[in-house]
Amino acid sequence: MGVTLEVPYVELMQAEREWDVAGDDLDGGWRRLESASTSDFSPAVATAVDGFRGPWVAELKQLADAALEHSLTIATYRSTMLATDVVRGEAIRGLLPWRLHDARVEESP
Amino acid sequence: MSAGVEVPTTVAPFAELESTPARAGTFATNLRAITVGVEDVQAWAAGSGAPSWAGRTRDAHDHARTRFGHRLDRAEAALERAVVATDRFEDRLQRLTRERVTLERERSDLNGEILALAALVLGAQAVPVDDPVALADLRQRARLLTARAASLRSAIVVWTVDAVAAETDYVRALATLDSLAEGSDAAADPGRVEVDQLVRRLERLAGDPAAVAAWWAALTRAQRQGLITERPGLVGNTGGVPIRDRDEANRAAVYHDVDHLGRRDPDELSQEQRRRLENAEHVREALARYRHKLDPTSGEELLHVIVYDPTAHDGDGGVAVGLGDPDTADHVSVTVPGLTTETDSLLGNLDDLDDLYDAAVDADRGEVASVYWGDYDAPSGLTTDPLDYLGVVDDAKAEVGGERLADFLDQLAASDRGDAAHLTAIGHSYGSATLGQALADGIAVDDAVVVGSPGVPAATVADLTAADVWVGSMDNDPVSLLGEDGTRNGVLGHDPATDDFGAERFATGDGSPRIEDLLDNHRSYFEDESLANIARVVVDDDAAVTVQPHRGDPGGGYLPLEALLAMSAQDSAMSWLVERGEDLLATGRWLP
Repeated sequence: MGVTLEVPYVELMQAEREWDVAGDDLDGGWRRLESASTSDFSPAVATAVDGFRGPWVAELKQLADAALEHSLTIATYRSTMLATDVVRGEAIRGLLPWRLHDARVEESP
Repeated sequence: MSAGVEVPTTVAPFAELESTPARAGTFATNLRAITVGVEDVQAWAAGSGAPSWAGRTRDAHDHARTRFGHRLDRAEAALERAVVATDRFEDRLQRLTRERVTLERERSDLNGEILALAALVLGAQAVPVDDPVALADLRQRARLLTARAASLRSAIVVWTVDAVAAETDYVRALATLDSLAEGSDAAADPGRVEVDQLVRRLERLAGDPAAVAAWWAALTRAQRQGLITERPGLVGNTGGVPIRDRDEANRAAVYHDVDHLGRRDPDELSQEQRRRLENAEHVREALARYRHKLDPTSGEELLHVIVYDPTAHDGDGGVAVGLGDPDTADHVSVTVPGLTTETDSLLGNLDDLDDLYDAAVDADRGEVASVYWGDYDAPSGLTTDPLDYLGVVDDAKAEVGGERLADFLDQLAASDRGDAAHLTAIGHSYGSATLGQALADGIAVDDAVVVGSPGVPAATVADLTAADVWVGSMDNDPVSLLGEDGTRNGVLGHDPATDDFGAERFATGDGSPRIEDLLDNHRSYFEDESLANIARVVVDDDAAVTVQPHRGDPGGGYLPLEALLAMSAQDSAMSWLVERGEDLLATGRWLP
């Protein structure tokens, strides 16, 4: 089954790149947070820092991974547009800028 | 106790801070850099996502990009609060460090006096019980020391309680942010800082440093930190913002650039992004090298990034850093470098700045800040042949640079706190021409120092400025012979070392006459006696400056440039022959 997503090809490429950039940005963030030294902090403060950063490192890592995954999804979609389905097309639409949220997704004839 | 003289016990040592201000500062910098990145991505996701959270809610929540932005907003809110808490913790640790230094000094002095009295009372020399006046005096001293000891112990208890409270408060603040749910609460907090309005206000005020300083002083800590992480480039480079806050913003921008661009595939970076990353790496390296140079009283890092504009000047980048805090220092110097000033030359110039700072601090004439200002588009065509110098420069970039320097000095004046600092501007090489242009424009400095100058744009000090002008010129520095001196025309203006110009010429020595050393002479003004003299000017110790005769005065004979080059080449060749001859005599071999 194939679908048509009424979005200019260049928009897809742009969205793919933007998700990729977002992923890189967040990737740098969680790595910096995770590796920030706590030497020269008291044990109590070091423990508090670890407690604080634990969930946020995980969250930022998850978001970074998601962004890179979204970028990859669009890239894959671009190369397999003819072999995808409507559900997949609608999911892709959700990754595009809001102004394209009404873009039609139709099965190819 | 002896003869009724009650000597108090000495005051016991007390705890040191387990958490250091420098570590808190570094952690705050890390959090800011991370927040900058999260805010960038969040703004992208929100800006291209649903038009409003209020309308079309179901659609919006179905939109993956919008959901992504929502999650980021939660992380951003938590990070914002962590930044504020860490910034507050850093400030408290700095204050506690300063207080501890004072208390420890008082403890040391007091214990010394107590021990001296104890030696007097309990030592081999008997207390003069039959001398009521002497005995009364000893008793009085003991009472005073006892009172001082009690007061000091109370102060130490207060300090200790404060230190514990600082840690407890910080631990508690972080504990309220250690779950995603708490991030959601922070994001939904109606008291969350609305940064957009503040950004617009700062953009409108930028260009009026005095107005910025007044406005900034009225902001809350959360508002300041919100602005720093939302727009680090704006805050870091806006005059009137306190230097410490500019430093925080610029450090966040540097580390974010390194994190963000450093993770990208280099082949995907634009030329501008590549230059930005390179410049960020240079500044990061400088920060790393000086990370352990700390203020002995507050424990904070001494290096401050005052300007970070990595894409300015056609990608060369603009940067200014300072050792010490110009806002609070009694003596501030601003050094303007010369040819090939780019961000990649920062590290090399920092060594000279460090030497100047140390020399000025050693003079012990008040708090010092030494600034390196590399935020103008200096000519890039470095030549190793001094005669070619004239071919690669004119005064156009000095003129534009002079205007920028004047703006920068206005910025420093606007954020200065307390009594106005004693301000010295220092121009080296082409930087002296730039400084000369700024002086001619009327900048308000107390002293101006020009070293290795190829010329300044006035025939006399009186025509140039009302400031005191000091000149360092080695006669074997060929660049210093390029100015107009009555025998040659100077592209960049007059030789400030001549007697007609009327500046004070401080002692620098003349440097080696060998041809291969001439340009080293040009780079040697921040060494030895020359450095000592510059430092004396910086700390306003004019009487201690050693001088040498002006060019043209008795004892001030010198060779014009062409003659110097000819003599140096000949001298160098002769020296080489002599050395080889000595080798031949010593070893029986010709050692080329």
